[in-house]
Amino acid sequence: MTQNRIISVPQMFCMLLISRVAVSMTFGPAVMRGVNFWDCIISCLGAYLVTFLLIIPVMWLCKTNGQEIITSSCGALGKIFSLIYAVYFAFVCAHTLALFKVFIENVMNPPISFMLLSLILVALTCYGAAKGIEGIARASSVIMFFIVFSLIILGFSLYKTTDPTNFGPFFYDGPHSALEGIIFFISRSSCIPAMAWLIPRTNGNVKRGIFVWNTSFYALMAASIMIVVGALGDFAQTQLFPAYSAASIAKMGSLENLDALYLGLWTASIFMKLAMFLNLSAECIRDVFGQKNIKISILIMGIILVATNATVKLSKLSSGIFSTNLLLLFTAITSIILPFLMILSKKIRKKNTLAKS
Amino acid sequence: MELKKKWTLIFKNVANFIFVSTIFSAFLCLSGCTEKTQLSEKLMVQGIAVDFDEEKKEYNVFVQAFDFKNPEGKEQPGIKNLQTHGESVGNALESLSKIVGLEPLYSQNLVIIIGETAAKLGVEKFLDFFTRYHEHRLNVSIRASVGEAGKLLSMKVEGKPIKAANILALASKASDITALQFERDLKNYLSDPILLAMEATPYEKSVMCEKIAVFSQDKLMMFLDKDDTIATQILRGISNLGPLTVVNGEKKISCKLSKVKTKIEADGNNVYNININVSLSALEISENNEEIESLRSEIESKFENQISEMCKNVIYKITRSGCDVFKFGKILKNKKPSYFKNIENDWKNKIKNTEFKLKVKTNLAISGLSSR
Repeated sequence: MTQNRIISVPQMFCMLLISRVAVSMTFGPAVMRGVNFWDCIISCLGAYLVTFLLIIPVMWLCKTNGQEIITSSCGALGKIFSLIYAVYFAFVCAHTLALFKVFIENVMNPPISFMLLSLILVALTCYGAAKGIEGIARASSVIMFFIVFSLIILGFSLYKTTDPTNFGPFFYDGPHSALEGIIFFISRSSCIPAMAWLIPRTNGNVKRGIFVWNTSFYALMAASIMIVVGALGDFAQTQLFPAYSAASIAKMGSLENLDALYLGLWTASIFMKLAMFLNLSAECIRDVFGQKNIKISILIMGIILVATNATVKLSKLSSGIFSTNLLLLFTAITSIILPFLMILSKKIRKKNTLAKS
Repeated sequence: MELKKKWTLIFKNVANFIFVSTIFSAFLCLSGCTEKTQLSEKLMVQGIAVDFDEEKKEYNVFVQAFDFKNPEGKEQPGIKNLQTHGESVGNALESLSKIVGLEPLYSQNLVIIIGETAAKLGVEKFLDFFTRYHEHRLNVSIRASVGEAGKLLSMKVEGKPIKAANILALASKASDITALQFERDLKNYLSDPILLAMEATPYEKSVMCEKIAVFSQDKLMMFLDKDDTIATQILRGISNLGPLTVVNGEKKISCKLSKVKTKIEADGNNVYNININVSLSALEISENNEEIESLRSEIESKFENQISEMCKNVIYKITRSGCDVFKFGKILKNKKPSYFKNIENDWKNKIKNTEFKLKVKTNLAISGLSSR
């Protein structure tokens, strides 16, 4: 099935950057335990290079398929692949919503129930997802502008509180923290499989987009870690979400409590990510069942998301199904194994066709 | 066929309407729309003082809050002081709402004062409440008090209760220690925190803030006197300190320490180079300006010697007691990690043998009259 190129490369990478920022900005003891954050600067460099390698299979697949859906050339097997992707994308949504829940419950502690809050958020994301990828891409450009603006303000306002003695030597306790950091960043790279579904619908120079996206994301993460460690020092190790704690002390002139900025941009990022992955999941389901309208699938997935999210607790965020090792495995399957299988399947089918003719 | 289209359109519109109204009504359930608590129904906390009663083995907590029922002026709320106690600070503060019937609001709190006994017992036990509970802000100032903290917060100056905002204004913002700064030093296993310390003036007429409380981890070790306090602040690179006076012959010269730049570098194993640059603004010089110009270098050198002496004294005093408030440990760790790894477990003893080379440079700015 051929798709129209309806979004531009900058739009696609805005979406992907926002969705990566939404999850990665929650680095901290809530999701990675016993890790020295300062060594995560090295992890950024390592993960930056590994990401380029991980993208190769997806890029190869997209190059072979052109504007066609990546699973279209695999016959019946393609339906299974699409289903796996649909489940994976829905799982990414569940993970993102779980992060949102843990953050809200442990940091904000609002007087209203989380169920209501998640219901509103999921309803809004369902609406966004139903509007299609073009709408989400346009919204992401606007959100991206505010995110960059807010991050610049937060960065400048925290610069004064930075204590240079907090920047210790790298690898003081060995390479464990840096390796953990690389695994953390790579395991949350759900953008790579998403790219496989988005590139056929994208118009422009994808390679340049990938370079800008990857570089800006890891530069942003390295800068965030630097600011957090500089401002909070070892106190960051005691905070569930150090980036939020750093934002809560930011002030600019008479403007205080700039954590509201962080909250605003983070919630917007969560909305973006949920909408994009819900849409992608629904597109995969459409590929499996061939239905015309994706709205019903989005609605059903939204209901399942809200229902399953009620049971998530802080302790479960970095263990069980959400453990980093499992997330890494899922990322490896969807970014490396499946694309290779699809390329292989296409080549075999092509060979068989040639042999028959 | 047209009828079917018409019904589909109606169905779509109805569905859209239901969707939008569901979202809208869900928003109405949010706290911003439903929580109607008036400010006067909240106990807006302005200052908290924590003391420990050794006899009863419990914490005495004093709270200063806005009193909206008895305003001071037309648009200015009054203040009220409340006292509560409990096994922990969190317990004591939670029981406060049962006493006054108002819900405490901590986000507006300006200062936390820790009493001497509570500080000696260890602050980590109760500080957790102030950094963990979501309503508290990490920007809140923390001070220590010589003697009871509650006494300071409930003191009356010229018949009026002293306000938390006035207590806060006793020290410059640059020299103030926030909860974050204190926690940052506390959570680091090498460095030790300090706090500005307050005490009542003679005859308990007012409150002054001229001392520093030095902690060893979370326990109060000692209070520094005025000169040691200035030296400690210079060594920590804090600008806009108060005046300093030197004696030149029979005359006294007072200058304000306006800008301080301090650089501490590890030079060898547990040896440090400390370079201090201080900008002085002349406050009171009983010399003719013409003479002052010729005496400038002499005055500067007098200040350099005095600051150097004060800094040496305070470094010896603090390091010999095993405290690291100047972050020597972190500096050495950053410069020589492999060497430091071998001594880090014994750092508390090693710091006692710290050696340093101190260099002070002053720059005197003279303004005002051309001749007397």
